[in-house]
Amino acid sequence: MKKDRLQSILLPILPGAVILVLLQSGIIHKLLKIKILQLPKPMDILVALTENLTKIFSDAAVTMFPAVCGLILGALLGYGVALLVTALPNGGYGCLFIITMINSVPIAALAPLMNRWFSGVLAPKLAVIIIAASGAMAVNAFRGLNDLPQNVLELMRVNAASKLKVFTKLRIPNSLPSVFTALKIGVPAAMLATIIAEFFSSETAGLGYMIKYSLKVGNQKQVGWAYIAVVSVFSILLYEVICLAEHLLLKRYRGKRRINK
Amino acid sequence: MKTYKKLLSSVLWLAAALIIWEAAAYILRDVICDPLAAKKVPGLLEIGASFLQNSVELMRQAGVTMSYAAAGFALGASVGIILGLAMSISGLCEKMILPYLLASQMIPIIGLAPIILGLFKDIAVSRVVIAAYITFFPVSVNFLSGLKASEENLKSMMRVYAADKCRLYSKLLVPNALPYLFSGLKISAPMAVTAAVLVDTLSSKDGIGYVIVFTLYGGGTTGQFWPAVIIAALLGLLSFLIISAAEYILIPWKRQKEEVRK
Amino acid sequence: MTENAVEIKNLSMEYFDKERNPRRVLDNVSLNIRKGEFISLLGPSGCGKTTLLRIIADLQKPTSGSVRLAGQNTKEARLSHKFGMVFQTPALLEWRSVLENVELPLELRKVPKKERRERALEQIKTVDLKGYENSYPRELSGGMQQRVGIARALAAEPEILLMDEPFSALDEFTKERLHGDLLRIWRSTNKTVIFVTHNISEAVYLSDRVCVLSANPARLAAVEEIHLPRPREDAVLKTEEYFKTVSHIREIFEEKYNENI
Repeated sequence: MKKDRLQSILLPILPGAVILVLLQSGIIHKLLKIKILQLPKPMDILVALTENLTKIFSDAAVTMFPAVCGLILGALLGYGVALLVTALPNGGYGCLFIITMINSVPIAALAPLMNRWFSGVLAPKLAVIIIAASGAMAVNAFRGLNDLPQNVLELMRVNAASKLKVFTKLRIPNSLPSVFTALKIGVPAAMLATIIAEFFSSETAGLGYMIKYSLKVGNQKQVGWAYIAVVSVFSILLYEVICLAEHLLLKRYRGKRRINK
Repeated sequence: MKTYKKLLSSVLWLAAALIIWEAAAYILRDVICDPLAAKKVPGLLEIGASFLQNSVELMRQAGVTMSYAAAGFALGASVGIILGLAMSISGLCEKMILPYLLASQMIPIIGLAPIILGLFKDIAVSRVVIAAYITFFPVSVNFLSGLKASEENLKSMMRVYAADKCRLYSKLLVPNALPYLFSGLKISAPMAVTAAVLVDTLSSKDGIGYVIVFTLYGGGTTGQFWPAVIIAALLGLLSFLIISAAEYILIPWKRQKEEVRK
Repeated sequence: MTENAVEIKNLSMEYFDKERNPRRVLDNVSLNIRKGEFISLLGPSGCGKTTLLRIIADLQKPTSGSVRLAGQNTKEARLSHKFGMVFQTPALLEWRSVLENVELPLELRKVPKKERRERALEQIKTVDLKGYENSYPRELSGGMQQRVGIARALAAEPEILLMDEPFSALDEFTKERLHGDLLRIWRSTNKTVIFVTHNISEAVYLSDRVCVLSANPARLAAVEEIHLPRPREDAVLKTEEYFKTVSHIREIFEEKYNENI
């Protein structure tokens, strides 16, 4: 029993540890003929991380604030569109189509464009993130609002439920799992959008800016890698927060439903 | 009937969006008299004209981006399929690889574009590698869940007829996983295009993304910017449609009943 | 004395449930099945009759005891295609046409293409599905799908046919029709049929012998010879003898289950 649990923890760690060791010992560098300058060793990255910790945290604040705000606003916008599209039968479908089209405009084109449309540093960044985060939400929420259990829908119809009641009692609860799916897709999308937006921003702080800056400077590569590690950690944290919220909220929802019976 | 309604609705909304766009262009240009109006929101006619004027060049650049995206997509999809198969065959393999697959999606790989370029020293290879990196994850995860999704009854049936592991895969598990594989491919194809466009913008000398950035910062030659953005968006849609068409041809048993019976 | 097709000796099966308590599903079952016999395993849902059939088919391993099919153990019998199986659901491959589904066992036995086509077509004719060779399963009704399942089980020409509640998901009219088909096929091919069901009248109508299983754990409560005349036609269903036999078996059940509760 204990052996099993130990194994299930150790097994996933093993390949990562092996790769780290190979990187640190320089074997991978030799095999792929890469210079240490281009791909710093893990320990050097760790050192760069600890040396720059205060600066990294202030940059993280600059980046994470718009990232989280943009994710939330984008999710709200996407959900709003999905609600609208659902409320307007048939006619709404095209709106979803437009959203998907806008969503497929590459972020690298959006970022400089938003710099033109909006002034300041925060507004264009937010705009990019909102667009990046809203697409998945609109499509997923629409699915959740419309893939209804047929028999429950018919039950509502038999009981002469109004359109509004069908929304509040059936469609919206039914869409919640899809909302969380969309949020989970949205985290990497929003983070990526933030980083790219910072590539194009006139701002001289933030994780994205520092990645771009550090990687350009010859002897700062390990700092760039440290920033990339930080971005990954924050993405994973954000993702975990959403998983936790899903766990708590959906469980609570199930509880509520039971009481209603 | 339903497809027709969807199409009609899309056309109507598209028309509405274009009207709003044109109105915004008009207001910026003639009401507010913003000197940057032509750069912010140019009129539709201007965009159309510049599209026609530069169509040959734009199509060539689109072709460049699309070919890198396709190469990366093919590479990434192959890796994804192999990983999915490996994880399905060996539970040990799944335990060791899957957590890293999930984590890999949290690394902003496109932010790594400069590094990848440094590693491979060749912009063409970097573009393919990055598009592949973006592609493999949805493919492998979807394929894996498809391989696991066969009904217990069907597996029993294959066992009763003494199918070995190889035939179990070729006759049951893989065909059953095909629809899942295609939903993975449909997710990743536009992503591969996005990746290729993005790498274009960062550090290359050609491709539709290059046109976007060059015309944006290149001062005078702003004319190609908007057509290039629209093409970039359409390329993603095109890749999705290509995969959907392949799915329609390769998975005839999932088509709608009416279509099969015609 | 006729030769035995299947010999089941002291078969027991135990497994551990979620709370890790041992649960006995089969308790010391012994049974000899004659060659060419139509025998039913009759019992309520979840009593372990399907487990018994799955052990015969080498899909599950017993805790103790043995099953021999014409002198072979279950694995040898499976690998040498001694038996075919019809499942509760049709268990068809949806990407294969009717013909290709019926060909599957022959394909797995590496029968040459031309021969397997001929043999599959013959079985399709046997189950009255001529004209549907190139249809996909989803285009057929439930009863037709189940007939494809039967044709597939027959295609490899096994000596023994294992049937796991094959008609329980079908409506009464379709079921009666398939009963007739099954008896006709059984008579003309002279196979041994082991038929699992929870339907008393179905078991009586079809079988030479009915094995009544008690639940928790499954024991062989009674083995009843059915003395209705062969060949059986629908007319048998209206005879007094048929009603008497059904009532008799019903009484065995009532006795057994009152005792057990």
